[in-house]
Amino acid sequence: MARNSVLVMGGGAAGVEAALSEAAAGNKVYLVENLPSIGGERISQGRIITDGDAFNTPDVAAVKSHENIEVLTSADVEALIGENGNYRVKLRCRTPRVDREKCDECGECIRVCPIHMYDDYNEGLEWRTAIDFFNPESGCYNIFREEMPVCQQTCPINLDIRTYVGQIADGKFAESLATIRRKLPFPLSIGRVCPHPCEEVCNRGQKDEPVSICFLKRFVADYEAGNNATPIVQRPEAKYSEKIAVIGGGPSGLTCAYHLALFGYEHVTVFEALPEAGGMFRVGIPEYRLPKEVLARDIEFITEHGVEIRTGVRIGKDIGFDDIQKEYDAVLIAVGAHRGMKMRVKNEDADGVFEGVKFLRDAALGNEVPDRGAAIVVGGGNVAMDVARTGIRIGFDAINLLYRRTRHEMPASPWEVDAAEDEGVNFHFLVTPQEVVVKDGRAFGMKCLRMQLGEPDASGRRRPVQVEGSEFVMKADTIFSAIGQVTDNTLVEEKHGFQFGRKLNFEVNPDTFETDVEGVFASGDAATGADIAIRACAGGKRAAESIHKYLREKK
Amino acid sequence: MHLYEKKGRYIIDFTDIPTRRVEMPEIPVEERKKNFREVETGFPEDVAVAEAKRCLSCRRCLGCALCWAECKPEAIDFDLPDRDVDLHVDRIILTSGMERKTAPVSGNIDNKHMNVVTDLQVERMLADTGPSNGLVLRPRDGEIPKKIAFVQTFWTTEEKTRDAALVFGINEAIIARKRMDVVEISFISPELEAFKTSHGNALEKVSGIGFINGSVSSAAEVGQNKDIEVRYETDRAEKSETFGLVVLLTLPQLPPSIADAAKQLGLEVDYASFLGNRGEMVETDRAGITFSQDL
Repeated sequence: MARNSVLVMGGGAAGVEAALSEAAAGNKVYLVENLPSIGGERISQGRIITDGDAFNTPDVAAVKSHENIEVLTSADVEALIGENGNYRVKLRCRTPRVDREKCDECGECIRVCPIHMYDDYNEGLEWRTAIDFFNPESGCYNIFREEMPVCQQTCPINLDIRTYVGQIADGKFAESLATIRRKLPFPLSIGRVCPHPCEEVCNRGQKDEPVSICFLKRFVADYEAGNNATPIVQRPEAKYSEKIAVIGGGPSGLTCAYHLALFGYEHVTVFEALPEAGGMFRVGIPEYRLPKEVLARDIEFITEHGVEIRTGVRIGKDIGFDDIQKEYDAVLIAVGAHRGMKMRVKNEDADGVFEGVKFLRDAALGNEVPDRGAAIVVGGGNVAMDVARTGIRIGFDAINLLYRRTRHEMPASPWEVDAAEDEGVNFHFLVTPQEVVVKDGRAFGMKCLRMQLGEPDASGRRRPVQVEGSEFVMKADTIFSAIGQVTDNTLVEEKHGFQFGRKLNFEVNPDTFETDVEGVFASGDAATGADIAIRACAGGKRAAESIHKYLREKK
Repeated sequence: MHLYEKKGRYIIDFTDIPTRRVEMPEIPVEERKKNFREVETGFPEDVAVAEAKRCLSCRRCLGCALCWAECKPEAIDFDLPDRDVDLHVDRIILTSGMERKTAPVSGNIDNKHMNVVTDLQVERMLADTGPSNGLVLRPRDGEIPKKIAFVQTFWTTEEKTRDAALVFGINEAIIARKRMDVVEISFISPELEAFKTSHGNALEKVSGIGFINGSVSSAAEVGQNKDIEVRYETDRAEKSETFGLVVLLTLPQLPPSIADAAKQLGLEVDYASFLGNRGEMVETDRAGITFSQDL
């Protein structure tokens, strides 16, 4: 009869030793471990070793066979309350999928398991099978099953990357593309421009380099286009008659419209203020990264699902927001963030100073743009790189890019920075603009100040501090500011009752993308502030699901 | 049955590791001037298929049931549910767990060099049940390195935890040296002087390891052999030396499961709470709860 009951938290060498000594004293012991197995040899960190005692090897076999010790692995502690003599513990043990009462530890399962995965037990030095015992003495056989690979978990729109890459490996290109399009209608575009957060976490990167996931997506999409194959268009069985207005024909709005069409909504109208649909895909990302005809193919795929796109219609001007609200059962606002932020320097409004995003937009639409002499680009993000690389192509003699920190702190994708440098953009790091120098009523140059890096700030980046007396003037005929974008929210008025964030973005419930106004949703940059395209698409998909739920519940 | 036997008998190695991924082909810079032609030209079919085959499919159980068919005692049950357990106990013993963190070092951001490993990986290499028969090998080519550097790249304000981290690394160096006496081993730490005040006597008895009181500024891959060049500063000079393998020391910390449990019990703990004399229990101010000393 056990005298006392003891909970030992942690199944490492120390826990095993504590469990054995408590059990030897006649107590009932519960040994609880969060990992799937207990034990494991340990090198001491308490004393410098001498000969013969290199490892602390806990006696796992003794723990396993001791009648007064119960081992609980894969255990999460859900609640722990009480006081001396009376503690209550609620545990949830994740399933090992192996009944250890029945298991005779013959190891046959390991022999036949065809899955060889990253060996977490050996710190990734080797491969192990998906069914494994982790530590031979413990007998903790366990099947490692996981809902989702890490790349898919990381992808904002949750693309089933493992499946579509596997289908490419098998030569099943059409199937692979269909897998992507179940969630994302922009494989050609995203396959070119995505900064691919999935690749940063790719487990292959632990071994050598991550799989080139993004460009594989581009490959299958290009393959279909290159072979003039007709894309497979899904025709939903359900049909719904509600009318939905999508304001903004960019990545988020079009993805939302696509998913609404897939749900069965037959009256989805996209209003696009510009003469061409595509949003930042069309007027933000330059042609040399995403050709217009490539984008047009993605958009055509969306319209083939029955989505109507009305270009050249600006809500709040051509049609009032009130009329939209009256006419439609649900509204999505996905107008992006197309207005440049102010540099907040003197003479910023002078002739010859432009917003970088406006320059990109005009260049993409074939409008007149400045293209002579020397230009300065202020900023270190991907928009600044796009402005600089477009500037080089459009005819400027020199492009000087100013950034107030160093290359290391630049938010732009490193491959964009490298390409800009290769193409001849002059980078000036640790330089801050002070004032636009004006001569004869127009910009003549930028008065700048040199910086040096000081202590890290809240974002963890080292804060630039001014170097006293380091002012200088850099000559320029044209100055572009590319230091961030905000949303143009003038399509609505105060009376409509929306709340706005710091980037003039529409405040929404982050899970459902609902605004405070009934039946009106917002997604993409217009809701989140400027962000990457795939996240805008993901928001559009989520908004479509919310709109569907809203309309079905309302009925 | 040991894991390394298992490897020899059953596991098919990925013969293509390590391999670089395919670079995206681009048009040359001269051809980009004054035009908007697409810069990146896309993968040809054979290249794409080869690249797709690099995917490890993040191999997890797929439910193929081969093991299920093979299991004579019928112990495998894919639908076995999670289990809720309610316990009543008189006392609780907390241990420190086995979580450690490393600090990145310039030249090896994102741990990109295969011949830079952590002391946790070296512990597995040295262990009987580890993957390499108890030898410390270079992950890049499986060779025994000629020179190994153990380096401390983190800073900590807590002495007991720091000393534990250093003892852990020094012990590994001692074992490695004993098993592979042809290997030259250096141990570089900016806090060796402070460490000696508590562990000086024991350190004097250690032979065959070069202790350097220095601060490491970078660890970068060099040459075809993929050796690692370590730059460090001592109080006298700035130095650079090339090693076949670099071991980053890690700092022990409490895993979330233990920290959460302690929090629910209303205890203030950190890793140092578990450090003291071997085999002794530390009483807490809550009766019925003790900390088990780390070994």
